[in-house]
Amino acid sequence: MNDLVILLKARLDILMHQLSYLVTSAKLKSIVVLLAALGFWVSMFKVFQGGFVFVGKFPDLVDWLASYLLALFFFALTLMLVISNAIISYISLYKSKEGEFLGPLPIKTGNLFLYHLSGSLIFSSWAFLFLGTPLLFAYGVNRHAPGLFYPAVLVLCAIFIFLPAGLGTLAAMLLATCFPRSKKQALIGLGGLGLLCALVGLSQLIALRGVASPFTERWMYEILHKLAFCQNPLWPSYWITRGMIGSAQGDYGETIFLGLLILAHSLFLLLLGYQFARRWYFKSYSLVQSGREARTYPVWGLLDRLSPFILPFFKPPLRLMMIKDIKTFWRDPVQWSQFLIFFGLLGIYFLNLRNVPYINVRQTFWQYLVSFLNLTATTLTLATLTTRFIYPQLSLEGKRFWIIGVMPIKRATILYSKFIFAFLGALVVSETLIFISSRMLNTPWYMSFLQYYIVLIICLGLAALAVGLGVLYPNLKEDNPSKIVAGFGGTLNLLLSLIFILMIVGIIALPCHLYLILGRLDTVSFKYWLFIGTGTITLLGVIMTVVPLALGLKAIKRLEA
Amino acid sequence: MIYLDRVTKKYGSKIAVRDLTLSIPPGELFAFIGPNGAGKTTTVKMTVGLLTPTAGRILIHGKDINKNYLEAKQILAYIPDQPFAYEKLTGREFLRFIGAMYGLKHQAFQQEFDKYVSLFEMSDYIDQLIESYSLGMKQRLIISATFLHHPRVVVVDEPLVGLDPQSARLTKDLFRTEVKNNGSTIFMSTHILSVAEEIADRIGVIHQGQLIALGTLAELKQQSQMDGKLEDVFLNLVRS
Repeated sequence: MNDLVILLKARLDILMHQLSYLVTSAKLKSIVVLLAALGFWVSMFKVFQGGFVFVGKFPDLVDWLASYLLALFFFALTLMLVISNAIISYISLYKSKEGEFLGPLPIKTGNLFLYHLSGSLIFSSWAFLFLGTPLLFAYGVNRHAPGLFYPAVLVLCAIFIFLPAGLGTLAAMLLATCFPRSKKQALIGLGGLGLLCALVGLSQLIALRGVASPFTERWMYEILHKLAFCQNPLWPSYWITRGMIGSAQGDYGETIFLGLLILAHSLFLLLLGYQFARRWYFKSYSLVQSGREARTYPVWGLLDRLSPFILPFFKPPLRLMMIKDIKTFWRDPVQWSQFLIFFGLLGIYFLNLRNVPYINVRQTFWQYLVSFLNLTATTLTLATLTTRFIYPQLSLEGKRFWIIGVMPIKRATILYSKFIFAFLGALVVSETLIFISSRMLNTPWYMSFLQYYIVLIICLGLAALAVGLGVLYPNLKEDNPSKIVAGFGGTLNLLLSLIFILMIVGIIALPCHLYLILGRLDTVSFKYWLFIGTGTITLLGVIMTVVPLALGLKAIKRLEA
Repeated sequence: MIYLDRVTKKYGSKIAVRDLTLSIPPGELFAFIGPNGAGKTTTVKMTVGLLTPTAGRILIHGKDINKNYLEAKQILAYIPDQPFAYEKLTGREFLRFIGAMYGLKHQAFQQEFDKYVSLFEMSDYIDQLIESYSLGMKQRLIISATFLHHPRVVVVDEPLVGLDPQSARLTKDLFRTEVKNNGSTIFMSTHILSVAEEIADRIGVIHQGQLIALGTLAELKQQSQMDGKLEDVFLNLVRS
């Protein structure tokens, strides 16, 4: 039997065992996940449908706008898929126990590449189908697409995901081959590249300043002109966009042509990766494992010396646990580089708010709208990062859990140290961003303080949720944080975080909207509703902090490693 | 047969293994001992093709592990110090996976499967998921998987970790039987000197990346001018 078939059969067996466990032993968990997923899918579908209905109000522009929206959506999604495939493939090819196990087996290196690629394809691309299908189905419904549109869309998506997977896995192997001993520098380089792209994008937007008044036809043309890069026929994301539009219009010839074009390129990338792996995989594997010479750190680092002054209110065990987590975080560039990229991009955008052409910072409408959008963007980004980095922290203690498990400290200390570490980290970064946003928008003092308070509540809730659920649903056997997060607990954490943020922001944004924009509230009623809203979010914040921590506390006392 | 020909491995500027030449003929159980950080695991990983030597070459029955890796690995088996098994497979499925990977036909697989399940008394749990196994149970499974396809060369890093006395005895007997009856070559890296003393035909001592002593126990005693246990001989060699 072919070695690739044997490997894939083993993966299928593993999948079947996991499904059988979910069906027989974790019925409630499966039902909750399925219902949540269904609810999320339907909500996304409704949101996209609403968007298309709105766009449909401009019959002259509808086709044009829809094609831009789809092209932009697929462009962004393709970029994210390439990055996520590259990260997952890198870990799986070079850093996993499975990679080391498969290395000495008589398996062709090209097939090892295909096997690891199939794993990253599954882990990365389910979200593509999950996020992409509601948009595409909404588009189909809105455009009254023929019945064949829907299967055609699924086939196109299924072919398409191989392209970013091939590209990402190839990029991971190239990175390992060219920068085997300088992962940190490579990541900093990639982060720098991302920031540079963001700056270029921002400068394009700033260039629009003064060109046209906001929300006029000219303005719209200028904006779309700046986004025309995503309509470049050389982008694969454009091929899938055109394929979708073609099948919605019944032009199956174009759909088949573009589908085959995507297939040909996907196969070419797979072939390229296969040949590259044949020649270079074991060499790059050895280079990565050989690593750099171990660095020597000072006996008492700056953090060790300053911690009694920076963290004076915490007892030594709690402080030591926090220092351990801070050092672990700081010494792993994979962790902080992602924080830097996401919050760095937001920071650059916030610092340039006064230069963004359509934002008039002197108008209350813009102050209110943009500041709340910034608040939502910051906290939603924070939610993805707490899910990605804080939730798996306890699981990542893994086989080393016994070290802290047998220490003469209360288990509660472990939980609280992780919570305080997460909360303080999140608070410093988020409050700084919201401070910049408020200053740039010149928001009134009461709105600024209200937003600082909202951030405080959200940071408390998100940190407690990620830590609490991380303890409630630990996966001590998995070393790969992406796989830990992809489980039930991680999904639940992200879902609850999103709901929490939308509730908190919504409760305060609603009276502001009614008073400042629509004028439906007088000043007295506004103050009253704001007072009630602040009390409500405080209560919600307390619940979201106390309940997960209490459940986590109970769970960590029972935890057996 | 394993042949390491002037093998050197560098990690940055640090030399982990220096100009190592070693030949282990068929039908020999070779023990590789040395202090922590001496270069044992690096040598083991180079021998199975996980690390590429900075200089030199490694031949497995005449096949270069880096150039003709498929032919070399077809006759090779490796037990690392921290063995891996797919946790969500059953023991039977895992052994079937390994058997298929080495091209064992159904009948041959079944015969070997029955033999090892019976030898290591795994019948009670062989159809349970590996995630429920203890360390010792997992180790027995890994050792069974290693010998399932009758490899001509076996590379083992700390083979007895986690095994109970009975399983440890079985494993040592199995090693000796494979060497004696089937002419296998076993390259065993270990810290447990009593095991090396008990079952090895020859012993190599590595220290700071260099082979400082090589020979039978008697030859090592002669070389170190000591007549005690291997532990004393080893400590004397390393200190001097």
